Amino acid sequence: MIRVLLADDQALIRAGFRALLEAEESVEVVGEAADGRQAVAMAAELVPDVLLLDIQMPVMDGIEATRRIAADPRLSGVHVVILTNFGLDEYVLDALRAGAAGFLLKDTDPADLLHGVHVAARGDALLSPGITRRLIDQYVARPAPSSPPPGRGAALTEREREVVALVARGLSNEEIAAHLVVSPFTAKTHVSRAMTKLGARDRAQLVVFAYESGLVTPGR
Amino acid sequence: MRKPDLMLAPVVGAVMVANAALNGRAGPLGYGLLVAAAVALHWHRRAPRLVLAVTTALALASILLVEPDLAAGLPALITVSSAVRHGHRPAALAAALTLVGGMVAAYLLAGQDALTAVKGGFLVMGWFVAAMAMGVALLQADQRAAEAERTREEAALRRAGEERLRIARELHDSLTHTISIIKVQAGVAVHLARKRGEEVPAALSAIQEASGEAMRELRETLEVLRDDSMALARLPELVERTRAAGQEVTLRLAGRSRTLPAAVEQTAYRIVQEALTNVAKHARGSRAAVLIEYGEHEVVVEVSDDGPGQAGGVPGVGLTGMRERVDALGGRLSAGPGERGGFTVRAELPVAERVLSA
Repeated sequence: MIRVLLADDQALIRAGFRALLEAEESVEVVGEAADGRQAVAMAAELVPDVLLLDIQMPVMDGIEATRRIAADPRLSGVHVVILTNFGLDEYVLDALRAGAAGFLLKDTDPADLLHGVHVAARGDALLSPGITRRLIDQYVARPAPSSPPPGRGAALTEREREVVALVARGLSNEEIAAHLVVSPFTAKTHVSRAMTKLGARDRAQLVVFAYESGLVTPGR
Repeated sequence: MRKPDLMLAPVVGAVMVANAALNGRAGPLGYGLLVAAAVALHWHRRAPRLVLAVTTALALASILLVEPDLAAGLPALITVSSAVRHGHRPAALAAALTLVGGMVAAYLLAGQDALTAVKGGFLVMGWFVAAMAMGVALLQADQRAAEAERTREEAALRRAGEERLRIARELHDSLTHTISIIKVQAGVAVHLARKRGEEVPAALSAIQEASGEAMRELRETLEVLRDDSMALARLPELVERTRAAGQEVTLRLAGRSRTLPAAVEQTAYRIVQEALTNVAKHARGSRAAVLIEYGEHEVVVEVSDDGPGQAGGVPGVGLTGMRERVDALGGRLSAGPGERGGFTVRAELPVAERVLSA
């Protein structure tokens, strides 16, 4: 059973999602929050598997809420999925940096939304190849930071860097295993080691790290 | 034409005629020359070079043929000043030298010794130097006034454009939220109907389709409306353009670079833009350095150069606008001599937490 917490300031959006999710046998909606602060409080109390979190909310927005949940070690199992009306923009990028597992457009096809909830609950990054391409475009448009993130990449082994680069291209553990000709279990181990070393909550942060550190560059 | 301009020729003419009468040496020719020069002065603004030639020639004739008195050069003196003001410095200089030479020659012809003649020449030269200096001062005042006017117009246009954009963005934003509810609800209803094996009503499908179409259009419009042409992400382009224009400039980012509220990004961008324009204007040939420092609660924008500093001119016009923008954000702006000479503009802009944003 996937336990889902809904956070959106629009009651009609929450109602729509609740109806959709509750029709699934494998999903349970454990609560609804109307703003970011409430979402953080309810997440701490209910510890859901997935938090569907609107990025634009009164009192506290989704980015700050994500940051606070990511800062709470007891909530390391809560996978935050950002809901937005506007596609991948700088706010979504900030939320991904802050620790979100991925994002979904609010008006995504219901089937895709349900799929997204399952993917996030598994701990996979919710970044389709199309989205990954846009992510690259975003980084091309941005000035390169004058100094790369302080040596965090150095802690990675050669193999782990390779794995992170593959994650950044949107490959699943199985695909990474096939690509490197290792067992899926080995691939998974590399991924989780890299995540631990980089302090990443979710695969999405591996993707962000890969682009920000130049591990993956467009066209390669 | 303003009143003083209308009165100029008669007043100058009267002064010259009175002076000549007191001297008592002018005949009909002498008075004729003086009056003609005074009349010509009337058009000194409209055709400064022509009037300059005429008044100089008449003054020269008067000095050589009647008497070596500087009063005859008064119209030429005034025209020299307005010629310089209108950018005709070589012509003004030529006229001045002609009359200085004429004066020296007139003294010699009148049988004065060389020393007296040269002294007389210097006296005339002094007057003309003063007239030219006045012309330069007037020219600079004109330029400053024009520049200020242009800046005001640009600022007004910019504000109007920004306001229009802001309204359009807000309108589309709120519309998107509403349409998205319709799309989500319709989508869920269709999904649940299918799941239960019921037939999906055509009306519901139509609502789903139409709302989806509306969302697509709204997103596209919003992308156009979200003018990020002044975001800090565009700084490298600005720096590149400045460099291409021949100004040496470096860009350094420090701290955790991230997206800031749009107002902060735009202000920071504008400050850099304005400051680089000023460097190019007042400190040509110097090296400029742009620093963006992302702090936890504020962002520091600093543009410095190693030019002549304030001696290079007052880098002032745009500074007022900068200060207004910075004040509006509750930030601080300082502009003055840099630590290692040159000129430094430094702004500290608070980065409001987005916690309270709706």
